[in-house]
Amino acid sequence: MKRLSLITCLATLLLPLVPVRASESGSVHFTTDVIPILTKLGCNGGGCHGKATGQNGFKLSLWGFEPQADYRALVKESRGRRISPSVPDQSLFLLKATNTKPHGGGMRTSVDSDEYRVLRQWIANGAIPPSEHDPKLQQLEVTPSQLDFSINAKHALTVTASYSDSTTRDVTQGALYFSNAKKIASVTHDGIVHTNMHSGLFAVMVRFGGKVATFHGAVPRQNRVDEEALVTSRLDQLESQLRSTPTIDDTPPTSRQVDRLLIQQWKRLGILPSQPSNAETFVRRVTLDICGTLPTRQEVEDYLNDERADKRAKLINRLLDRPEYAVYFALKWADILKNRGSGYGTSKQRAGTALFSGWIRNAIATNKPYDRFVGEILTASGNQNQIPPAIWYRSVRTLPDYVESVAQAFLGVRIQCAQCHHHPFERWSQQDYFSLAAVFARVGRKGGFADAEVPTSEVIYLKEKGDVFHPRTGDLLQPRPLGGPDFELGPFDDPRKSLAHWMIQPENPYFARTMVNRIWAHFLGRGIIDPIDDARSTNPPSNPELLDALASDFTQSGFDVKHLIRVICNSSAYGADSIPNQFNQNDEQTFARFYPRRLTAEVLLDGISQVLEVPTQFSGGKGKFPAGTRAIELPDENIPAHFLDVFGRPARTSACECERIDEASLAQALELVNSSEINRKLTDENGLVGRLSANTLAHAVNVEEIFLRYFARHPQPNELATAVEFLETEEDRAEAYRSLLWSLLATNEFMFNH
Amino acid sequence: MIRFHPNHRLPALPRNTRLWLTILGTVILNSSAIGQPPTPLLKTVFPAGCQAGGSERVVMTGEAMDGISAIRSSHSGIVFDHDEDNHFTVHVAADTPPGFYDVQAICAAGISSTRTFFVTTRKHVLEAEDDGSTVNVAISGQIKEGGEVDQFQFPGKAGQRIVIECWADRMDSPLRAILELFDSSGQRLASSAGYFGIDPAISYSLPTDGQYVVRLYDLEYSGSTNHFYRLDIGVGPRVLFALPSVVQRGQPTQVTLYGWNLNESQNVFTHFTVDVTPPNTPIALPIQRHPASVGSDRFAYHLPGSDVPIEFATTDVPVILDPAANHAATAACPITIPCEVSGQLSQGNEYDWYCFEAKRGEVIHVAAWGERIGAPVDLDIMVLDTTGQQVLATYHDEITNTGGLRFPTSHLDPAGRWVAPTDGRFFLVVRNLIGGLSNDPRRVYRLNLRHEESDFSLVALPHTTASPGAINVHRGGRTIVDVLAFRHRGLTGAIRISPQNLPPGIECQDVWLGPGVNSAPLVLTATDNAKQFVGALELVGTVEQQGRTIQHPVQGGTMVRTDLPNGSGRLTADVPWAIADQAPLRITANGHETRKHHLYGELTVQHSAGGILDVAVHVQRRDSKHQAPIRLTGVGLPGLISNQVATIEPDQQTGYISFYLPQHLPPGWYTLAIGANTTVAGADGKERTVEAFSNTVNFEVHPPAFQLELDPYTPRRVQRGEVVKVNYTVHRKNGFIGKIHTELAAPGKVTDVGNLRGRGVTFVGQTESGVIQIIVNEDAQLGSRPFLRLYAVGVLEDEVRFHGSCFLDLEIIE
Repeated sequence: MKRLSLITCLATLLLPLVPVRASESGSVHFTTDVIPILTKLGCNGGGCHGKATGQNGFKLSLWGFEPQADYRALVKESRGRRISPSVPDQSLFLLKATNTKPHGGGMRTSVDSDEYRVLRQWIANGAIPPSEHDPKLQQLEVTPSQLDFSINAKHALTVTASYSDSTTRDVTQGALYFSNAKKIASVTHDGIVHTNMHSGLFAVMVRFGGKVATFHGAVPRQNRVDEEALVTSRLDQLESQLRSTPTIDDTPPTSRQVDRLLIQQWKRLGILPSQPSNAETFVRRVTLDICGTLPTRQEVEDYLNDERADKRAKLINRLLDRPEYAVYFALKWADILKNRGSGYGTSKQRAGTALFSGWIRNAIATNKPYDRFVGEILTASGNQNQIPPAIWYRSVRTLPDYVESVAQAFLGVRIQCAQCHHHPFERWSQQDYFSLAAVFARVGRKGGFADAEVPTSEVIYLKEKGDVFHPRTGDLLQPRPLGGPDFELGPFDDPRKSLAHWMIQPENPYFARTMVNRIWAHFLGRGIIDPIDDARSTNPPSNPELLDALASDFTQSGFDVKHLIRVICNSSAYGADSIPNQFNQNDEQTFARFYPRRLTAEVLLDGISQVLEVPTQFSGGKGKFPAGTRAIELPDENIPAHFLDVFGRPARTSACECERIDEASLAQALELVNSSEINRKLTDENGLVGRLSANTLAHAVNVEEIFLRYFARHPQPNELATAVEFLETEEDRAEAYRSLLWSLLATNEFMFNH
Repeated sequence: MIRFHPNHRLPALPRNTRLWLTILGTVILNSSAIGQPPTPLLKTVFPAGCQAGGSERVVMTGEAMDGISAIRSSHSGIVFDHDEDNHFTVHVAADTPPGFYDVQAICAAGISSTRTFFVTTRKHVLEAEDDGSTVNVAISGQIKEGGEVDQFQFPGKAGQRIVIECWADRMDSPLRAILELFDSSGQRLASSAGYFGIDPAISYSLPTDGQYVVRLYDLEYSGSTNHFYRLDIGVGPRVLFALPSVVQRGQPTQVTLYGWNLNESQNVFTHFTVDVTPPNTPIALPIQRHPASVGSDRFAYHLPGSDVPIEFATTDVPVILDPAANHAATAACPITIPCEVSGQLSQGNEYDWYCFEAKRGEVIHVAAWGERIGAPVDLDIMVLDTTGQQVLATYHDEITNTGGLRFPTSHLDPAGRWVAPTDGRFFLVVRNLIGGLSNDPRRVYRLNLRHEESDFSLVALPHTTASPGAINVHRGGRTIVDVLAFRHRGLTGAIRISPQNLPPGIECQDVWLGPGVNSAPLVLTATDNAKQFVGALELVGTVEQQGRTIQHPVQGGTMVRTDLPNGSGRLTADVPWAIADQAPLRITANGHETRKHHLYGELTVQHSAGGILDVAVHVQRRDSKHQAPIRLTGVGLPGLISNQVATIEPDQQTGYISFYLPQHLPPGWYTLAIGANTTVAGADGKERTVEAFSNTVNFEVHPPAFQLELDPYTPRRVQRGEVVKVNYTVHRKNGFIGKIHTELAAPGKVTDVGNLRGRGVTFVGQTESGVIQIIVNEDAQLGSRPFLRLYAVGVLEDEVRFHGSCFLDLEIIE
């Protein structure tokens, strides 16, 4: 830590760096010199002249990705009144920017600024338009690219642009900077990073001339010497244990690699992970996470009584073989794949959603390799009555749907921005967006019954022709994957097959990483990349080595999802307690403790039904769900269930898992208090309340049963005493148990997976 | 050896025919309600099958099935004895081939719609009686209510390939079945949501000895007594398809059968080679078939030990079996046209290449069969040039749906006509548009390549739109049978439909499906004293073309369900019909009423494109005391002719309805009928809505001599006492230069049309435009004047030879 502090101090002393300006080194180019200034000054931002309609008749391309159009707007439009080469200082453009003439955007620069001088010089030089021969920005580099900081430190970044004419320029002053974790570190407009009081990881995105670069920073915890020694010692000990403990049967070796990579990061950040969770916590946690189901009392006791060293791995394997695993993960995928039943005029969607839901469930139950699973969806063809994955094409209907769903669901990329303009934080252009759209341009639909907006029972097939043109240039675009070259296609080839093939290649940077990140987030509560479907260089993984290791292992396993889950669930990180220690209480990035999270709507409702022994009766559509049907088994979101809506059941309108809301709300509290469904479960004579009130067992015995059902643990002595005392004070035994069971439903321990 | 099925073209009656007819006659004659009862709708036969050589108690349920007395089946070996109410005992002769047959119920209101009844060689048990002790059973069951899940247990042995197959959609049930297989520990081993179309099947090699469980439920957890099914659990052979799937008529052929448990192999799919000898004449199949599979001659084949027949198509041209390696232009399989190819596209991205020689101008008709023979394919055909690089033509789906939702005839199989642009060797590529990533050997196809030898197929079905119907002719009344045509290989001319062997008391005019017309109404008329009858309607279609007469029998069809978004229909073994109770009214139409012209006397109208067809309608009400307006519309109109509505007021017995014959209507014979909606008094004194139909109106459309066109600015509303001038133009056609005389006219009247008078104008020579003056009398009836028109006659040698009209919409106001 001392060494780190020294480096930081030295870096601070070097401030400020004086960048070399392009304007001082020769001619001024519109693309490489003028536009970056417009961007820096915010002229072409989305809130000003860069928005789709422009501002007060002056429209620039968003963030300057279309220099030719910007040149026309600045120089040619409005009879050229914005530029006066003969009297540069009287150019309306400069008068507005300096607020000499009234400007809605206020003063953006001053006449004595570097920016003003560059712009003036370009005008004085004759406002030379962009040319093919102008040097082009090839690469943007930020130095240092990563650095460890101490708390309340600062460091100046240097940004260097490399051009096609082999020149380089320091563009530190002209670049834009954004921190992804302002709580940990902020960055000034001229590239000086300031760390705050919190430790953790952060990144600074640097943008200049349409290129981005990322700086990765870390602020280790400021431990005292004795604390540092303790942390180092304990982590060394953990590392040593990993090396020395023999591999337990059924535990994948990669789980140890996961642990090693996490320990390395904890060492870097001075964090000590929480203790391993106890068996009671783990059996509840893993059963909920794999099966979306609370463990029964019997399952809890069996696990607690199991004395085998590999009982944890064996439990994970058992859970993965249970039908609830497939049901629960099918629910997750049905959300992502927009298996949607609502929003339409009739209930004709139900057959399709049920069919698709069943197909997903079967795929998960049989552990269909993930590449095959995705490939069958992407290339699905045929009648939606008979080919369930073709039902994906029912909700995903348009070119933007195809592109954005595929990119977000399977590649973890949010590319929506690039439909209208170049992605501000990434490399994706409209060319990338519409070239990916071209992959689906020949998806044909025929037949079907128009059920309000969305037909059912369509036949999805490969059309003879289908073209996509660049919306701005009008160029015909060939099918191309994100970042890849055009596919080599014969006239009869289905570009979707090429896309599926491209995805599953081991060197594909997105496919496997997105899936392992998604599954990691499912079990650990946060993705290594967070949000899980927003992978970009400017939103880096918190532990790149861990993500790469998991992705590599997943690919080598043949995209075996159960294997991936075993790897994650057998890791120490997954087994850690959620109770923090003094070293990791602020940690939200490195998985040094288990991050508790509220049970999802369906799991919570099922959990209540399970512990109270009163199933929910779901209705809707043509039929009636069989008694005992669980919420996680419902095929779509259009089955009426107020509880599920209140607790955040997603509408399945996008491929984003963020649609599922787990934030608390007043409505949720009211639902637990006033819900007729909860009331029905608590008053059903055939339910747990009826059974406990009818039996003659001692209250202590019943309380034991209740705690094992609710929390997968025995009650603490004080809990037992309090509960028994309460029960004994109530004259009406049924009412007493009803009150106790009701109050326990609202506890965090019940409502959270921890 | 192949086993032939008996020819079922004649109606099959139960063995106790005399008794049956007596019961039937009693029931029908004793029904005396004046109001026409609704058509019996048979929804469920349960159980819907029986073991060959066995008997079963069955229950028939449906709507309007009062007085049910007998069941008609399409096979003489299936006989139903009436027990009581809607309960029957069915006896199936031991030699009845396994398969799927048609049954109809005979009720007080006539014959019912059609349902499927199966015959199995397996032990047949009811759902409730299944004790789970054996395999090789056919179970009849129902998902009686929403949320019901039926479970069946069976003993299995390690290594056995068990085949579990559910029949629901394929036997008229609305059940969308899901099958699941579990072992004794509750572990799910396999599931299916659809294998034969949407009917599921599981083929699974059992891992251990033990008890296994099958679960069956509806996809949407729906249920009712109509959600019936057949569930087969067996380890016997199940043939799925054959290659070739088409064989040359009369030629013994070696074919390979593919399916499950066909030999000792443990593979999922096994195969077996047999010799078949196709018959020389078509044979009715005990297999339910797609509406558009009419017109292909087929026969059924039963592999010994197998319970399900498969079908082979027969052809009169050489059959070529798709070689396995023709997946590129360089390996194209040479073929000589005419021929029939039997192919397979197992791989998802497979293309079968063929090459053939053609002369410039040579016409070749391409027709593929895939979806219609049950293969999970969407075929696409391309013809490429001699280099194999340039696509000259592509052929996709047949999108024409002649039968609508009740009998959807559209399908995914491509067909088309191709003319060779030059002499040379061309390529033809067959591919499957829905192959995806998977392999499926069931993706077989037939490819028919022939020269321009026109042909057709015909289907007759009840004239119903809202529910499955039946053909019941009420005494003293008429009913419509819709005839649909499938034109093959360039046939465009008119098709004449003629009835044969009608019983006494029944009349039926020949009807015409005019040039390019694919449906027409055929009307059966019963006299007041027609005797009871239940049987099959025999119709023959005839086309005279280039000195060649082509004749084909008309096959039967039916709607199956109304609750599917895209409708559901199928072919039937015959065209069942019956004579039923008295009709409440009779409608008679005359499309050839003469017209009195003040200059030229009594005229017989010759129809031409751009003219108007007037149909005089006469009503005979059985209960003359009950008078209600009768709403008239056209029924079965040729596609280009717009429908009209007219009303015959109470106390009126006659009226008119007129149809404009569009200018582009091709010359030829056409047919239409008039439908009438009104109310009659029911037996209970309450009014009941009834629908009646007229006799058919056949009319010939001639090439026009001229066509009339009104000035678009012609006033639409005129006042009483006003005189209006209407500008119009006469377009002379086909070289006619004679005199044209124009008048104002209405159905049955010329010049003086209900206090409107139009003064005629005569054109001679090349005159083409004129004005007709219309005088609206002060006492002219207010309101719109239906079917008013400008009427022109073309005169040659002072004789009216041609007629033409165009509607003139006028509303008389104060």
